[in-house]
Amino acid sequence: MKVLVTGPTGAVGQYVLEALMRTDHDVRVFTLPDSMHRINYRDRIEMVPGDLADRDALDEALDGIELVFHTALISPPPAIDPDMLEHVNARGTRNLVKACRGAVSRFVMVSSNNVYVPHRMPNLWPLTDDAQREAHGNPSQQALGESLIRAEDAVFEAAETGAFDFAMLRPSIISGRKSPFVDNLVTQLIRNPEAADGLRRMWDTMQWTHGTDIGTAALLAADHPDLRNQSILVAGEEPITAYDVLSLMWEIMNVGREDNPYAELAARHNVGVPKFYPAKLRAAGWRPRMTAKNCIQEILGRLEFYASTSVNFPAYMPVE
Amino acid sequence: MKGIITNAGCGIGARLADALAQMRWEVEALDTGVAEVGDAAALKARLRDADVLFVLELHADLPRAAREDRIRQRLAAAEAAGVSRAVLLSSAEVYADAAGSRGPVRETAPLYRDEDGVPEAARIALGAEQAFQAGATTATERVILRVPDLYDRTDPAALAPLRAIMFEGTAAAAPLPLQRLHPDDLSSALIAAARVPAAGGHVFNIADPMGIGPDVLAYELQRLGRLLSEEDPTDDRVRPEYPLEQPVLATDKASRLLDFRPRRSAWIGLAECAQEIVFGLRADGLVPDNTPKVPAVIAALESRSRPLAGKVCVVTGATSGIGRELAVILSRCGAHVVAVGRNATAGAELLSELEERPSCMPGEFIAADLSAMSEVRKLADTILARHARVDALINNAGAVFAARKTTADGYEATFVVNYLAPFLLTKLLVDAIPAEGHIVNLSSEIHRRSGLDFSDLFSSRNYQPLEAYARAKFANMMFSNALADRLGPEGPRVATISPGMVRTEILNREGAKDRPELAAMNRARNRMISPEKAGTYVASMLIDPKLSGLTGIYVDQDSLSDIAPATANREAGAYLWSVSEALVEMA
Repeated sequence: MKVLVTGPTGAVGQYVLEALMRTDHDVRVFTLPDSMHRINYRDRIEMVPGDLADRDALDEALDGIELVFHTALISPPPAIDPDMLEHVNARGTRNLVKACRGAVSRFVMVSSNNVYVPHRMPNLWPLTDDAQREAHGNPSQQALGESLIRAEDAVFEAAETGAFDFAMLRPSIISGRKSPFVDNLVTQLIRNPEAADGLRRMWDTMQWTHGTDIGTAALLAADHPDLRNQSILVAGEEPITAYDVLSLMWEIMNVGREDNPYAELAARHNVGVPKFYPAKLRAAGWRPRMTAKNCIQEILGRLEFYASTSVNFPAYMPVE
Repeated sequence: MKGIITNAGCGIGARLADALAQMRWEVEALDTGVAEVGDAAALKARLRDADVLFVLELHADLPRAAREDRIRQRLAAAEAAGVSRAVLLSSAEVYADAAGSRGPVRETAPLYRDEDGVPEAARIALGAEQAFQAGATTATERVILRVPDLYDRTDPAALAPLRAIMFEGTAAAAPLPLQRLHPDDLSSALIAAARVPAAGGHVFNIADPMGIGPDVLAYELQRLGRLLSEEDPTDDRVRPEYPLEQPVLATDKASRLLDFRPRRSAWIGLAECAQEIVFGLRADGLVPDNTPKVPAVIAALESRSRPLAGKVCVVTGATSGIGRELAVILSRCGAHVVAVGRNATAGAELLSELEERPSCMPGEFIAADLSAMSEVRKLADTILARHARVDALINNAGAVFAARKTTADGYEATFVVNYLAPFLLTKLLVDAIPAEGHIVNLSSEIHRRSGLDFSDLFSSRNYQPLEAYARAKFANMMFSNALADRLGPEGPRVATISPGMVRTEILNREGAKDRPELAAMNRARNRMISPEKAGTYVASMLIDPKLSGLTGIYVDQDSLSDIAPATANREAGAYLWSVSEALVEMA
């Protein structure tokens, strides 16, 4: 099958690409010209440069394509402003969907759990796949939710008019390469373990999903009959707070010791029941393979690598 | 490795089978259908190449004697088939004097003797243990696990005592500390008992190493009950530090020999059970419903309930900003939208969006520049020629001009676009609006900071863009109040709404950069709400049952707000009305 991945260098796209490398699909990617050098497996894929506002490039990218993985969506405010979110997520998706009409049989989009109604309080748990949608939060978070809901609607409505089948994945917080949120959390906790209290208050309960698990979920959603035209929640298994992150970091850095000073604190702050239950994926046989500890191990390994290379550079590089 | 599970149909059996399968064991279930009595050969054949027999008969719904017979028979078959190990799930009820014991009860502590006065649960477990040990040879090593109750959220019998404690407090709790085990951990204990070589022939207590006393148990269950059912349980969010109790069962043997420690703490087990109890209470209506409260407009859009089906809604300024989003929202709610704007290209784009999207209803576009009174009249004529009835008129078009500008009629543009044009359009269309129809004027909180200078309505003495805008919105507000008075409680509903600070281009028109106050406001764009959100606020005036029946109201975003007293002055309102009538006549 001819497959297109948009946004192949992103937090999700690179893992979808990786998962596709284990299949016999012919893969093409649609990417911004200035991130082409960061695409993996360049010897095995076709690349079409362009952006989602460019109709001609979209037509070229979609030529002969039967399956689309749309992961070229942007998320983290406040670094990205609302107009940009609207431009890329809502208008970009609309353009892509328009260009799809015809050959594409299934359209897999990776949206976010951010589109759901607020679900911070435990009385609403566990949130499942078909919970109501409502953009919420402060204006920039709201802008993200709105742009994603508009993008989703573009896909739903195209499917309604018979353009293609869809699968709408909505992952919780994503861990993995290029996931600044979890990297920042861990970095902050390394610098100052006492930040855990504030971070716990701010983010409360999280249920991270690793990119590899989103990759397998996306591939499953691409051809599983029960996931046809479904909105699908994607979430790891463990509900964790910043204290759990701290406790797991300590465990990783103190292998063999049992006197984890954060274990009790972490357990007290953990409600003990999951926030998300990805019912549809579980029914389809999907199980996340990466635990929260695996995710943190990966981040710590990466940070160590950065630290070990950065010692070769002066802290301050003078400009002539 | 191959494991055979007897009585695999019980919840524990299913979990164990799952856990074994994940470890790539071959798993087979041996259920009631097979070899009831006397078919020893068939049973032996089934057990032939198995490595471990898991005996879960304690949880089978059988008379005591039948259960014991069955265990005896299966063990005999296992011996004959050369199964190297058998693991029995027994109960911690077997210990005779757990309450009187000084320290935690070890595996060697005295058991009940088979006499009168032995609790039924202990009698059953003892019988099972005896049957399991009967005729032991060296062929099959036997391991017994003595386990307390489980935190099994799927088992009503496990929940009932916890539910009673949640409601009645300490009084309902047993006097001994609770040491229940999480069902997932029981599977890992069974697997450890099957695998660890040194375990053969031993008896193990398998329980949570920590004891939860009755007071703590009651407090914690009630805290969880609040945490999992209330909307804002901030006070109960973090589990307090509880005093520790000495456990009833000693668990160190399992920890040393089997290397088994529960992975899931008792607190997780309790929380899961408490959540299940709360689900039950919610289903019975004893705990508040947790269906999220979504604004009426969002609910209508998401469910496609089309509350405005068949209604004609006129939206001015519908080619950009709030008006454009509002037109789409109303259309998605089923309305026939008459969009009014200056930009014909943008109007055509809007129409094609309404046409193409399956969620929208087709609409129409009328190009008109509302700054000219003649065009307003022409617009009203066109609308009335096409529609006998207008269900809603939304005077959305508004503008801020960086430099003072006069219209073709010679009036100041801010005043005309924000006030005079809506005044005239409303007057011309009001007879076509039915009693249950709506007139919605867009305003801004900024009107509160201003007043009206009748001697200088056109700001000719000192032009400040925002001041001119505030005055026009003040006049608009005063007009709305006067209109609501004239139409009365039985007439069409009149409402004014301030959508808040919205990410539109209103502050970003030509020349805005030369005005520091406008540029500064425009820089705060990222903190403003989206035009779409503002559109839902405006649409709620027609859709939200809490607002759509009211007239003469002022709404700030999504909440009813006080009307500024200055705008409700009747004399001034009447005077403004007559002046406005004269102005539109003269144009």
